[in-house]
Amino acid sequence: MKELEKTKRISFSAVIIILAVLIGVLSFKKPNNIFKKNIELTLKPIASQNYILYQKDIFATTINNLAFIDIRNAFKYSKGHLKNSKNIYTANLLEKKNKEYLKHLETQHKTIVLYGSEPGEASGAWMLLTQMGYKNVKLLCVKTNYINNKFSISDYPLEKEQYNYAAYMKKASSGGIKTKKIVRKKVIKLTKKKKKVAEGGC
Amino acid sequence: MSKTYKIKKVIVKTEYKVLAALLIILAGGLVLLPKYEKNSGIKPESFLLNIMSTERYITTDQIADKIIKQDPNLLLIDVRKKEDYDSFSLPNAVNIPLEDVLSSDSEAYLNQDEYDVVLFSNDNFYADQAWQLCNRMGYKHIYVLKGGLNEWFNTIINPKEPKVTEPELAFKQYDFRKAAGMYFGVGNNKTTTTKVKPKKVIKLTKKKKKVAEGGC
Repeated sequence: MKELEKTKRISFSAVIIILAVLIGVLSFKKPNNIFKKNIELTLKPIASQNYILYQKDIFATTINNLAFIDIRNAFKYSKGHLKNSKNIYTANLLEKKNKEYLKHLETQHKTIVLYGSEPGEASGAWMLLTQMGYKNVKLLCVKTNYINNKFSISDYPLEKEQYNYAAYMKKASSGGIKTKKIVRKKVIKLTKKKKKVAEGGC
Repeated sequence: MSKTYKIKKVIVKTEYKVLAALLIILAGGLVLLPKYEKNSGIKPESFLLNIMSTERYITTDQIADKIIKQDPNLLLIDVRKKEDYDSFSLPNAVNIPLEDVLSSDSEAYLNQDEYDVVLFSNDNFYADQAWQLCNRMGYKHIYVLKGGLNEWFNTIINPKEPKVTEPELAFKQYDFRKAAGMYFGVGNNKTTTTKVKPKKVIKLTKKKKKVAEGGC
């Protein structure tokens, strides 16, 4: 009888373990989005700069192999965009349908080219997709313009020095740079003249 | 031994076998489960929210003010290449090129709670990328100098004078920038002043009405 009780206890605990494992496995929720790429690996293309595509490169490559993604908002996209580009606003990049579209492009061996108002705007989207494991994602180094109801792109001087900093500071510190002092205009206050009391008539 | 005892013993033995078999199957199932992929650092959803936010940007005026006031919590990090840093950089800035942002030496500067780290480059593209890498790693108190050194020169070193029609605030900001420029080494000995010529005021004098001459 003692042995029987012992067996009951063992079987009871074993059933609980099995149930716990089963509940754990069934309730396990796989995260929808994960960073597949090691962060150190992301540094490689950044160091080599081979992820940046310039305007001249668009014409050099077979255009059919490029899939342009406009990461600006829908309003800006509706005003004007690159031909054959698809609008996926940065905030919506992790939506299921958009991820499926990007996967579809990947299976077709197309180069995903991201662009925004300027490269800085698309940089975050590029970083996100690259780290999530999307291959062949590039960043278009252009500035978008909308002049006279016409959309156009122009080259963007990425991280270009506007000044020769050291030389400019040397010149500035020696007083070589002339500055204008503004002499503000004097404000003349207008005072309303009091109306004189009408002098007595006849 | 009674017959019923024998039967019970057989049942117990089979129960053991069934449970053992179940546990083995479960163990096998756990081994066959796909490898759990874990994010290092923050989740992609959080990363997306952070890159959309502009809270990371700090203006050149704010930085100039902090440097002048000698803010002890400020740590400037120049993410440009070493030769660019050697040529010119902001006062007391540390050089960590973009490629070395994740090195163990850099972690001491970036992964801490004491300083407000401000990253900068010529524009803010590389500084932004450095910030994104730091953000992915979960580092806090990291900011980006909006417009980088180009904006620093356009606003602090060589500020643009406001138009006469601009509001008083623009003139105050210009005065601050001029003063800050001097603090950062812009000489002001040879300033030329262009005085606006006061407009000539033409006095209008009312002609006295002549008394009507007598008629006939």
